[in-house]
Amino acid sequence: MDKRSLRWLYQELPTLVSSGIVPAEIADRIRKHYGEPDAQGSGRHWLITLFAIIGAALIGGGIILLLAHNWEELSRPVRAGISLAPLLLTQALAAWVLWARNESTAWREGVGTSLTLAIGSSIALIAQTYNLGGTFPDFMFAWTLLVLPVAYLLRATLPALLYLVGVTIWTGSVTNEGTKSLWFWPLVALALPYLWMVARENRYHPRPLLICWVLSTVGTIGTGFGLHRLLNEFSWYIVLYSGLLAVWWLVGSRWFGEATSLWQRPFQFVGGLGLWILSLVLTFSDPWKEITRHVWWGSWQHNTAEWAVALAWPVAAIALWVAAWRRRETSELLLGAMPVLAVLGQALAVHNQEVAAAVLFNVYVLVVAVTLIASGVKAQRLGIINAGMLLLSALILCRFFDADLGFVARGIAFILIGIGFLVTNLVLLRRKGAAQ
Amino acid sequence: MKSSRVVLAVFGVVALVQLAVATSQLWRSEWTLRTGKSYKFKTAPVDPYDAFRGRYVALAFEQREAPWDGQKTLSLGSTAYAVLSEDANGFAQVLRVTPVRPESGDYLRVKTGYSGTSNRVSYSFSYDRFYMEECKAPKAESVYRENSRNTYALVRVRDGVGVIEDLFVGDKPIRELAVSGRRRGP
Repeated sequence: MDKRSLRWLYQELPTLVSSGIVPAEIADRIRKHYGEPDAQGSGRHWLITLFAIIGAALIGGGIILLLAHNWEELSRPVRAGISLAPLLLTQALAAWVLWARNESTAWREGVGTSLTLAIGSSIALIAQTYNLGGTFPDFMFAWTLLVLPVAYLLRATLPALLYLVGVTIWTGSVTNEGTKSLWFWPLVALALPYLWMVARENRYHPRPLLICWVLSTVGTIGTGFGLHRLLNEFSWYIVLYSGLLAVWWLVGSRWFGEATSLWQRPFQFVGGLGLWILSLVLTFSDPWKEITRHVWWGSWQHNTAEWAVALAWPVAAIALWVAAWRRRETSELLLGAMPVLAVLGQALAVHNQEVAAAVLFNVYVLVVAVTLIASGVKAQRLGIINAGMLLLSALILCRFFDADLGFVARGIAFILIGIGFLVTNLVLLRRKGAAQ
Repeated sequence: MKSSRVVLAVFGVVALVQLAVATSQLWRSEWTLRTGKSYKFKTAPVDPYDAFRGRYVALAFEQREAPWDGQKTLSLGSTAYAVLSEDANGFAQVLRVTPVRPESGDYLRVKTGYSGTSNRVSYSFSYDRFYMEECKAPKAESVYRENSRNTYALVRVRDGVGVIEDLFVGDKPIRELAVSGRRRGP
């Protein structure tokens, strides 16, 4: 139950008991079941933690900037010693926090942030003192790997977030070094136990949610970096990304199904939006034509690991889809089925049927949009109806830009869609008002 | 309490690893600077639009390739060793680049680039920049560019590691020129 509803329930309970609607014993059992409403305390608690993180980041950043001045008046060994000072100090502080302030989230997050910055700055400042060249990927790699244990030991979120972002930046910077970028997934996997650790108690807590938002975003970007060779040579992005985004969508629907706000749906949002955009792109015939051009150019002699990863996502998506089908989660099924259509489209395109592949996706997007609108109308939920209408309008507009139509025809289409939006919203709001 | 002791002990190990990574570079560089042999590497003009300028002078070296002394075919970016000697004017020169670590003499660990014609290979040193105070660096960069025919980097070399000790324009360290140049300015 979300905090607002819980607060309302706790406010109502005494009245319900005094008016005899709920027996006192039942009220106690309800209180026991949901625990103490810590809504207010929790909010303040998180504010303190946030300020601790911002404060630590500002102080750490300031110290780094001061040191980066490269004080030539000081001797080289002194400068080298000073470069190590932030690291030593924050390590000592972290040890003290682990010993004496282990229960304070603000302390752990704050010192975790400082230590994360100190590790990077110490390595960089020593490189500066001794004029060491070094490549950016090497630096990023060393920094991110040294930061990860900090996330686990201090149970701090920022080092984990920096790790995920750092691994993605590193992967992006080694794309010209053959299959090195395939290390993206094992490296990301190293952070997953941390996610499990923080999500175990309450997956709707801000901490796991923040990690899930970053994970779904960097996972989407990093997958492109990791498999850049296959994507370039085979236009494999259609099957790969429909698989990956469908996995996000289905995983999100499965584990964040009871979310009460958009913020609590990281995987559904990234996956759903991605699937929408990709499916709209695939309603054009050009992406499919690219495939026919590429298939003859690419060499199939790729690393087996590359193909294994590229196939793992669509396969995982189909497995999750089957699981959702068994649970009769009909709302997830239609969007989650996109990998199957992508494979079908790819097969059609390879046999020079690119127009058929584009028609297939036009029908698919139309069905998704109409189903959304229908289910929204049935459940009387304006948000879902509008989402369906948005997708439908996008599809119509795509076709209008595709076709060789004049400004007048396009203008009329815009006006009609606009009127459609306004009328639907007006009618539904009136109905709702009348119902209430 | 017992579990917090374990966490603290693990943190101690992690902290040591973090320190070791940071100090290993420090130690290796300091050791090279104190005990390595000095070589003067002639530098070459650099691209003036180098994106990372600002706090350091970007360096390029006059000699960019040397004979390849290896049997196997060369892959881009692999580690190799540049065997060093001095020419008649006392400047460093790379005699050859070899895939195996030489047993004697001075050498530098390098990354190989594209192999050119007649079995020669291009290479890059681990150092390509010289850091200065932020207010001096832009001036130093322009002094360096204006006199790029007459500049060299003094590099200490030991056990394959090279560390830049100073950057010279003519016979003066660039730090001095950057300061005097600034004083002459408006």
